[in-house]
Amino acid sequence: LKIASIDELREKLESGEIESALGQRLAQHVRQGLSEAHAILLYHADDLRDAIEAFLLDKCGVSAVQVAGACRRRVEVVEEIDFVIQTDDFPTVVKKMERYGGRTPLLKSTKDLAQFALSTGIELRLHRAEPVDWGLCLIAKTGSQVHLEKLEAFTGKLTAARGKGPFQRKRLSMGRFRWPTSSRSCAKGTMRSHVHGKGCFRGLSA
Amino acid sequence: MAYIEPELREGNDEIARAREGMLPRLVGIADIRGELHAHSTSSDGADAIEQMALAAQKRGYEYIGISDHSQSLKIAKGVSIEDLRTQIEYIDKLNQELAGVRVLKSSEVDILADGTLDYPDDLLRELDYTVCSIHSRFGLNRNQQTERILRAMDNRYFNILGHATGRLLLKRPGYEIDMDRVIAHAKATGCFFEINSSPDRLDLSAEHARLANEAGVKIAISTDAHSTREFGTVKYGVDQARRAAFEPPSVLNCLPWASLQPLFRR
Repeated sequence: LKIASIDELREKLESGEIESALGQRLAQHVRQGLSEAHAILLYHADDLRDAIEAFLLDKCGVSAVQVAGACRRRVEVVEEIDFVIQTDDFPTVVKKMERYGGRTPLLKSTKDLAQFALSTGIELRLHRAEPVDWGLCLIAKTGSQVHLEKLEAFTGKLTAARGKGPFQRKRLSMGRFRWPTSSRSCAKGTMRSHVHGKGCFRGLSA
Repeated sequence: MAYIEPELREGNDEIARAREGMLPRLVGIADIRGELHAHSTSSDGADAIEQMALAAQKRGYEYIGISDHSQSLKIAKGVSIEDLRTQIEYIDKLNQELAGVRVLKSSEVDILADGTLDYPDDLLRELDYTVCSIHSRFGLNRNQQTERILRAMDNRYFNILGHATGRLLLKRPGYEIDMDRVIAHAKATGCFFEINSSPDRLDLSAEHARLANEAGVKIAISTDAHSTREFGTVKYGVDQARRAAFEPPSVLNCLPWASLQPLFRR
């Protein structure tokens, strides 16, 4: 096909020459290889989610963990996987997370957020939440950007409600908003079944 | 404001609906009563019809539709006319022996390039329903592909449009169709859509499924299972339906067979 560069490969793919010469299946592989988006199927993200949740609880010593973001919204293809966690020692959690799967490079870290590059090519984000802000943080880290903008148009800035505990229940008027009496009560396993609202976080409504 | 399920938090109309107390009661896995798109060893499945039926029963399903590929799809061991007639007789006999689960006589019928279906009408009428899909000529342009589907829907034995765009996530974009026209035609002719639960398909997309829902077109949440091990993927189809705000009454396989059967008679 006389292809000498990535650009030429892309051009031949779009013109259909690759498919004509090498078949549809190979053309699909080339398309996938040329994709710049680092994304995985939700199906695969679910496997990762289970493994990371277990690692956070068992190896990093976090006291509560809940998946958020696109994974929680059940978007079919995800580019990052977000967790909201509770811990008294975030720097140690970050340090231990770097050893997940042998090595998981840390991209960026602040006092409430750590971003890692997973070997699958997607990003892992850990959001630290104070117990009093658990539900608020889940709301903020789950909704899409557009959803949050529309929500804040009604509630005001979510960040303004930080640390105000029960006050925000009324302010946000989330009817079934409830905090767990103890984050420890949400044992590993039970909190994974939130997807269809059957886990112990069901009542959290965040 | 009422609690908004995570799957709805995309910034459509969920905030307004929550404020008005008008959020839907989303479909859940427990609402699923049966499977409407599954394959057997008659075509390219790994398990026999009886095994599929028993596995469905084990999941608590009331019915399972066996929708093997039709005659033109040679690569997937498409079922010949004679063999489909034999299969229909076999399923009738099997239903007399099975208790607690009903096997529905179906086929995943290819929509041919000219919009005709891959079996003659006198055979299609013997089936309980059909799933009609495109497996060839993906290269037709948007208008041709749309016309192809609309013509197929005009056949009174067309019931459910299978994996409507043929997409494979992260691998292949779907063929282009005018989804607004297809949805409007489905509504006018009494046809339905499928959300194919296969994790690399999830076809309809959530956006297209939402359009179908808003138009009042029901969907089936189907696994397209080729073995008994694949029934579990239905949860991904349910997720997709939830993202499109589907409630159980708008999902075909949340209905008992007695309610479903009349919907398939056009």
